[in-house]
Amino acid sequence: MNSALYGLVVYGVGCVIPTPLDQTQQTPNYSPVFVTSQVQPRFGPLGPLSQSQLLSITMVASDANLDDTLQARLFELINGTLVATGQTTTLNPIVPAGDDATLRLGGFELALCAGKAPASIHYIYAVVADRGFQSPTSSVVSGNGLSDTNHWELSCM
Amino acid sequence: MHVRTHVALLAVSALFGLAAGGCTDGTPGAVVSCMPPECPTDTTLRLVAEVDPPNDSTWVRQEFASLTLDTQTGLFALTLDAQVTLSGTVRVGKGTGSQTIPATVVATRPSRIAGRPDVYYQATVNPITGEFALVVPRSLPGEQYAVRVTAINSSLVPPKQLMVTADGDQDVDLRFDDPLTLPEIRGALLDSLGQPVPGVQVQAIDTTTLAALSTTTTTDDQGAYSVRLVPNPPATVRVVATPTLPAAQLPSLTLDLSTAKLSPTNSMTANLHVPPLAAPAHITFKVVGMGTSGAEIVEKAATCVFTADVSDPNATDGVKASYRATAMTDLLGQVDVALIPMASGNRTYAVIVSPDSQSDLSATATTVSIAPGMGYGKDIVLPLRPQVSGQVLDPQGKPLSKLMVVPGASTVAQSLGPNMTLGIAVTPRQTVADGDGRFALRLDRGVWDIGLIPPADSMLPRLWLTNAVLDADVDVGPVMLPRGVMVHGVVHDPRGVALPLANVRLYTINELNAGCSSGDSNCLVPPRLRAEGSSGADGVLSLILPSQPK
Repeated sequence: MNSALYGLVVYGVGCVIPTPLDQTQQTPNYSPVFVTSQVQPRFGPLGPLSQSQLLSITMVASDANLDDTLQARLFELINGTLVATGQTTTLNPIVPAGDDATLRLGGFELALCAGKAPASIHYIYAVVADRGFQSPTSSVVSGNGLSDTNHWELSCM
Repeated sequence: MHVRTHVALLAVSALFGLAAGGCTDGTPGAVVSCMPPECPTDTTLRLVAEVDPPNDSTWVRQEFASLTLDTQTGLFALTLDAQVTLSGTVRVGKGTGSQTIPATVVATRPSRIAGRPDVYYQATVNPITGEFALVVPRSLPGEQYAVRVTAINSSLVPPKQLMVTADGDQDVDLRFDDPLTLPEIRGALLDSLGQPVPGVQVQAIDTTTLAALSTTTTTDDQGAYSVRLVPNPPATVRVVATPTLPAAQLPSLTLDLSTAKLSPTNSMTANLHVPPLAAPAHITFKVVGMGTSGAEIVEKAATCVFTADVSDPNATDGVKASYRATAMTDLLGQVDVALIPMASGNRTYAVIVSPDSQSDLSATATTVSIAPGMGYGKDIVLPLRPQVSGQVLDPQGKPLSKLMVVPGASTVAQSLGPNMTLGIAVTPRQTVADGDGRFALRLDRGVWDIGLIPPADSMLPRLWLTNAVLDADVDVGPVMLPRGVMVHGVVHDPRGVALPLANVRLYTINELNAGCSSGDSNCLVPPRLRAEGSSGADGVLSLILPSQPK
């Protein structure tokens, strides 16, 4: 008798608090990560570059959420703040997907030392985000998005 | 070479069997195979390639100025050329008294693909032994690398550069000369009252290439400086004095010097005088434009660079002075900047305003005139960015949604433009086509190539709309993407060993580039990225290219 009543109570609780369907179906958001072995030039010391040296930068990132659109943006660390350099691009999935469907490719071409003082050192950060950025100059990811960061230590001639 | 290529192609054929050369039927998500030659690759495409081996590989970036693609089978091979090692020891001085010095060694040369940036290879120097080893692709006939060694501490020794033909492994003499044996330029930096100006960076550069030709130093408390030139400097060098802190609100000074004036002791004196200038004054400008509705909008995140020649017109010492100030507009669209006025009358500043990519307002080069005691300047008015719009259809005529629209400069000169020179280049806005395949985006006035990157699940090729002239709104109308054909390639070394995890980019090049001289950025059209991928563990990758138009 008691066990039957207990079972009824449990059944009732189950009716009152159903498990939300979207909770069971939601895919977790995984963070995008730079594939540092394939980013060129490799993160770390870079240069010295001349003011006019145009550099081709290959960005490679991985994101397990295949539907995420990844954006990469460049910043310079100035007085402890990431200041956008004006360079933002989308990293596109490889078509057709190869061995690793999570890979995304993109790049920049710019003269990193243009307008910089001779014999100066600069810290250039790359941020990859999976929900875009909050504003055109922000390093903060929109919504509940995730990001990865790495940097070059750039010396200019 | 042919034998190796053939072997590689056979290897790919074996991997893919009859699927090799398969093409898409344009139905999103569906891929069908069609037997060659039913859908060969578009033979009008002139393909080139860049290969980026992974960083932990012994191989380095290589370019392929032509790519042979079997249009019947859709197979290609990227056989890396032999590499050579440039090695040596970086030391200061010769003999037993020489010392190691922390330095970097960089080799550059023009890309083998006209219109692409120079290739760049970098090696670090062992801080204990001074040894370095720099791996570069073997030089083609007539091709040389500029190998440059630069001390981490640029005040110790001037950089050294050698032109090297990398036709085999070789030692490269990158020993620095003892700086005490090198030509010296010394002097003092003085203000208009003859008082010393400390804390200003001084360096000598090449008047043509602007490359550093000396050590770099900072003026001391007496305003004094001394730099050592490279051995055998050119006939004329330019001494440049640059304020290290923007807050110093000083002009940059330049002075061209004839090295024929070096004394028997291998030195010369060059004092630099700051011209008599009024004190900088804070002036506020409002940066505005007219939006699509006709209402005024303020530009909230634009970079503004103000420059003026502030040389003393009466100076006879040849010193040129230029002043530069950079600031960003605030949330009210206002930019507050410290500018040097004339003592009397107006001074004209050139201004380059670069809004962020999401702005509706266009980057603009203009001038402003400032007078003494002026607190507010005239509004800087930016024109509306013209809009390019269109609709993208798949090969069946159905709208293609989720397509990425990526503009690119139509000439190398445009991509390098004045904004790039000032270090404020902004990547143009990118957008995504809506459910009807329609897109619209606003770009700075100029000539653009518009890249259309289909969504991954469409299995369609990229397409470039070239030479879209934007001086007013343009609707390119419906654009039908071509069918795609899947091509398969293998990346391997000269011995046939597959190279995994290499990034491969296939570009098409404009035939007009053949008529451009190397480095003519006004003539050269940037190659357009048609497909990119990464080789698998077996060195093989597959890419989508446009099929032959019917």
